[in-house]
Amino acid sequence: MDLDLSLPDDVLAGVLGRLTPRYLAVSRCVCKAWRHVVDTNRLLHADLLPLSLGGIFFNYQDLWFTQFLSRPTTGAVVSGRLDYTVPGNSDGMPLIYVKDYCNGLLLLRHCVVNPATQQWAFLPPRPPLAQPLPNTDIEHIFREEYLVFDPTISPNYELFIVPQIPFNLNESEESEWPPSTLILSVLSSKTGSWEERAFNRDGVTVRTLPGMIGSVRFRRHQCGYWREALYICCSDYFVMRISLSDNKYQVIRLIAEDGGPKEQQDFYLGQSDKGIYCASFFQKSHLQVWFLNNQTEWVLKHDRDISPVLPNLDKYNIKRGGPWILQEFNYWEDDVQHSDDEDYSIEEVNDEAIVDVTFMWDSDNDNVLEPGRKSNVGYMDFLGFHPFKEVVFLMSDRLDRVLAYNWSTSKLQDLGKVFPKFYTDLGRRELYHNSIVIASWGNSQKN
Amino acid sequence: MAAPESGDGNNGAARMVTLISSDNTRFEVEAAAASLSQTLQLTILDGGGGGGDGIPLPNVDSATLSKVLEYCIKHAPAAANGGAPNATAVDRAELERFDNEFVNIDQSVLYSLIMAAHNLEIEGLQSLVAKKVADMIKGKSPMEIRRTLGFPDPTPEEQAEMNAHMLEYGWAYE
Repeated sequence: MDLDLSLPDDVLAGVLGRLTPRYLAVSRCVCKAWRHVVDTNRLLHADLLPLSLGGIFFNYQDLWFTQFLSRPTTGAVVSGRLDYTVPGNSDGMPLIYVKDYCNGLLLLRHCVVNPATQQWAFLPPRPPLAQPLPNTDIEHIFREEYLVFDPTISPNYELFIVPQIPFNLNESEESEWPPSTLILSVLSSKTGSWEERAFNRDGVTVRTLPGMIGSVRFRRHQCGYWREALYICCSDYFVMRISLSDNKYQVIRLIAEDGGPKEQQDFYLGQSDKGIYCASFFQKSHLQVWFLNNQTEWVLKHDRDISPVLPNLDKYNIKRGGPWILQEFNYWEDDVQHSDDEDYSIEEVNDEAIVDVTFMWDSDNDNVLEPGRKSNVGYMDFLGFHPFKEVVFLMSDRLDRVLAYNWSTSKLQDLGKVFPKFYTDLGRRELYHNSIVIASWGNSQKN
Repeated sequence: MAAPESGDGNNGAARMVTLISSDNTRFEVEAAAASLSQTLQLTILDGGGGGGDGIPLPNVDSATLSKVLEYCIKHAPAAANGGAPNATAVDRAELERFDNEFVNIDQSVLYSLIMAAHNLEIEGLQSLVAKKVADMIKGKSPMEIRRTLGFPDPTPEEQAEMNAHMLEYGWAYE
């Protein structure tokens, strides 16, 4: 049947409108008539997809309020202010703390929220671990929570609880972990309740528990979501790939296993341009970026000391604000900081900010830093991956600024300051690395 | 047939109407079944279609109309209950089984059904056939979709255009 020639547009729209975005995107390529129907009826909710980098949510040591460093264009649209999720004037001090992020949604301790639409939902109480680790005291097990939201698949989100490998064990007896059938507690927003879901091991790699306890410094909560699979860095030796389409999991070795980890090497797993990446710093400022090819093989994409491109700190005013704007939220002194939510202005909070709302951050051109002297370089800190570009976000411990480094062009740009004034006024300047979130939203800006 | 009494619906004998296909075949069905069509409903409410008059349907041939009426007769009792809120699970399962069987048909018949359901505005049938076609599209590449639905092979220009558009939403392709 010649569906392209004979079906009226509204009938064809009725057919194609039943497809999920993934299949709609495919249908768009079938022929001109179909593409016309998909586009004119706005069937493909491309606006739901995060296409525009919004900013970076930061958590700090001993501060339970997440702050938001936003792109100037984002600030006008999306606020990092999240206290509307805390009901009423409760006597307790609210802790507003972003733990995870996936495709536009933020995971807080008590809720899931979309800051672009300010829609949010409470989370039901967490269940006990579905499957405790062998030979470990329950109280010594850390649990990590991972949010999964993919508007190309479903309007519902899910939350996974995964036990962390502890730093030490009661006994040295070997036991297999993860087990051949891994059982995780999963919250589905569709049902609003927790369920236990089983994932069968795919592949032959078997790990044992004492052997998996890492030997090098390792940060928790390194993860990425890519094409219906959640990638979790479980220790400095392995990554777990949890496939949501067929309920299987796979153990993938982390890059350093064969060559042996270099001294003081840190690993950062995340999602970027073409999939899952791993970055690593060693010898202060030598950056390596690896790409996970075909879910199994790490390919080295970048390998160089970036200190020659770092700015000259002597000439650099590290206290100034902008071009990205640090939206500062001290909810406990709320009245002083923000008198009117609707009329929230950035100048009110950050008097140093040079605000130019028309400024568009062009990750290729603007604000490229002039190289300085190598001797000024401190240790480089990795903050995260740009979700759509070959860019990583960095910070130097000598320079409390967020820097964007494009690993394909080796250009470095200055984005903005890291610490809110009320925090540095307390004499503090320490990031809490477990949950730095690079967030993006589906508004009309593209970058 | 006796002329319909006013306030019909609660009478012993169900009111019947006659539909005439494009090839002049006459179908006599209960008014309740034919009224699943939004297009026919107004005519029937006005008292039309009864007796020797009949309602002509110049866009629907007899093979298609007989298939359409098979659907309407099966679904009329549930529709009369206002979407069947008090239908039993057994009834619903039976309707679902019927629907699945119903669209398990040749593509040319499916195409005629889509057009008939559209022209007659039979909501349930429209979504049933739309879902069937959507299921045929799901999980296929643009080229496989074209072949499944019997499109002619693309010209080199069309092929190049398809390839270019496939780059636009890279996430859709594993």
